[in-house]
This record gives sequence, C-alpha cells and structure tokens, in this order.
Amino acid sequence: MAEAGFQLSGGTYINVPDKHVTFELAVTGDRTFRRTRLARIDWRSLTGGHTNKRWCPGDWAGKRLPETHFHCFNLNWLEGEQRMRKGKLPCAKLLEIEPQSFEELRDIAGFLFGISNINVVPCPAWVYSLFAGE
Amino acid sequence: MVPMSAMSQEIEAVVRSALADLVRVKRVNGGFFVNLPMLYPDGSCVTIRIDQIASGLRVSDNGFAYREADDVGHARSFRRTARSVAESKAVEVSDRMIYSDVSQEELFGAICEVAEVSWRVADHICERAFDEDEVVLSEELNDKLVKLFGEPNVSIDTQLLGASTTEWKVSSIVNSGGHKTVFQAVTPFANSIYKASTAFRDLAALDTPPKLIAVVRSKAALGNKLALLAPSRILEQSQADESFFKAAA
Repeated sequence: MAEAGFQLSGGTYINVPDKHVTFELAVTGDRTFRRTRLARIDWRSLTGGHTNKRWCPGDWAGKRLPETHFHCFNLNWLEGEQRMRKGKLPCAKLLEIEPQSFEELRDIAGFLFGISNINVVPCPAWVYSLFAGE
Repeated sequence: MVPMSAMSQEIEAVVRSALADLVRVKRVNGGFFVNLPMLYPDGSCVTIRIDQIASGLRVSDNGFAYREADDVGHARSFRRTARSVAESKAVEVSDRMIYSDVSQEELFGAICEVAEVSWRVADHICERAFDEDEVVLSEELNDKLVKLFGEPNVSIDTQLLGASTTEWKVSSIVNSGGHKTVFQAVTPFANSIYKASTAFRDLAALDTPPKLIAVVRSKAALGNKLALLAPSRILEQSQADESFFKAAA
C-alpha cells in the first residue's frame, strides 16, 4: 500500500524576477493521484493580491489582501466536515513578515510549512532585463 | 445620530477609496500589468499585460488563465476551451495565452475583450475541476469497503461490461458471498446522477447482473432525482456498517 505523501511545489515567471512567486504545500492520497492543497504563500503577486470570500473566517473576510499573503491551513480547514474547503484555498490572511528576497520568502515558507531543509529549493534562474520597472 | 452630511462625506470617501483601487497598474520589465475588477476563481484579479510591439500594442492575459487551468490539473483543456470562448471575440489563443495585437486606438476594447475571455476560460475550467465531490465520496466509500470486506475482496475504480457492451467505470466492486456487488458514489450533480443511472440500467440488463448500490452523502440532497437511480439500492455514506454488509450479502 502506498503511503500518502506531502508535496511542495512552487512557481514563478522566468522573465519576471523577484515577483509573482508561489510556494504551496499539498498532500497526495494513498490510493489515487488526488492532490489536496494545504497551504500556500503568494509573494508579490502580479494579479492584484487576493480577495477573500465573505464567508471566510477571520479579520480578512470579504476583504482584499495585498500582493503578498498567506493561504493558511487553519482558514481553509472545515473542522466539522474534516476536509479542506473546495477550490484553491479560497481564504487567506496577511503574512506577519514581508519577505524582501526570494531567500527570505523560502525561509518563511520553510518555517510555516514545517520544512527544515527547505534551502534545498534553488533560487529561480530569473532573467533580468534592462527595463527596471517596479 | 450622525448628521446626513457627515454620513455622506464618509460614504463618499469609502466609495472613492474603493473606486480608486478597482484598477491597479504596475510597470514590470517594460510592460504594463493591469489588475481589473474581475476575480479569477482563486480570488486573484483578472490581469492584463500590455506590451509595445512593432505593429502597435499586444494585449494579453500573460498566461494567467492557463495557469489557473494548470493549477487545477486541467491544462490540457485550456486551448480547446479558450478557442471555444474566444470564437465570437477578436482575440487570439496560443498554447498558453489569450491575446490581441491592436493599435493604440483599439486598446480599451482589447483590454475588455481579452479580460473577459481570460476570465470566462478560467471560470469554465475551474468549475469543471472543482466538481470533484464524486471523487472525494468515492475515496471515502472505497476506504470503508476495504475496511469492511478486506482489500482482496474490493476492486477499486474498476470497469465492468454492461449488456450493451459498454464498459462502465464504477467506484468499486465487492466480491462477497460468491457474487459481485457494484458500489457507485453519486453526488447531487446532474452529470453524476445521469452517469450512474445509465450505467445501472445497462448493468441490470446483464444475464447475471451484479447487485447495484448507489452511495450518496444525503438522500435528501438528491430529492426526487433518487428515482433515477433505480434499479439500484441507495445507501447514505454515513449509514452503519451493517447496512453495507447487508447490501452486499
């Protein structure tokens, strides 16, 4: 019998350095390839932050979060039904510390996800261009 | 009691603040990222990218709709869905992007069209992807059956040939007491019900039909659609183990 495993995944755009980075923790089922998201950090997202649904718990219910935010497990777990909320972790909150670099973000993700050796994740091979932008 | 003028000023300030934040623009690497007041299924804003090109401007969704689809494991359906949605609009669809090359005068319309198509594609794909209740119920059912009947006696996510020679994929088949019992997870959604109904009728028409059990979370949630699941017996997932033993006996 295969055992359920945890998955750490991440994403960014190679031509957009130091922006729009995601770290996500998920778990896979022991009988299927079903993947259940547990938590996600979005850093300097280019898509205008995240807007919580009004039924999300916590202080940010129905509000718009800035470009860096944390879709934490506690806000997306339904204790009564013993399952995660449907969708891509629809509820989020502020991160207490705003990372200033990829390395800082990685360390924070390691702390929040309980991954002690997260520094095995390499820095992205970003392509820096002459157009500085923001 | 707050004077009307004070209330109006306060409301006006709130409204103006919200309006000012409806659209955000960021310049990144020579292009512009524009966040619009429409939300993708994941709660992020529909975002348009504007780049200068030789013939004018390229207005694209930067692949954000594709990323929404990829995030829910449906990247393969992006192009087909996008082409279908974009058919009536003057936008192009590449492998991962929705875009339109326009003149400066056409920019406003292009932003609206690309944004609309991008949102619709993401919404369409994610709605299908999130209709995964049947998968969850099926997993719970299979775990229960394995515990009750033992792993060697339970075939999970297996296929069975019906009287019409159509192969039907069912949640599980239990071999117990010398015969087969088909258990199928069914949700209140139309697709799930009609799929199960058609399969059950075809399987019931076999010379030696298996026992047929539809397992639902709540009979009340299906209402009068329960009748469509004849000729199966219907159990609720939360019913006692005894009910499942009797069903397969």
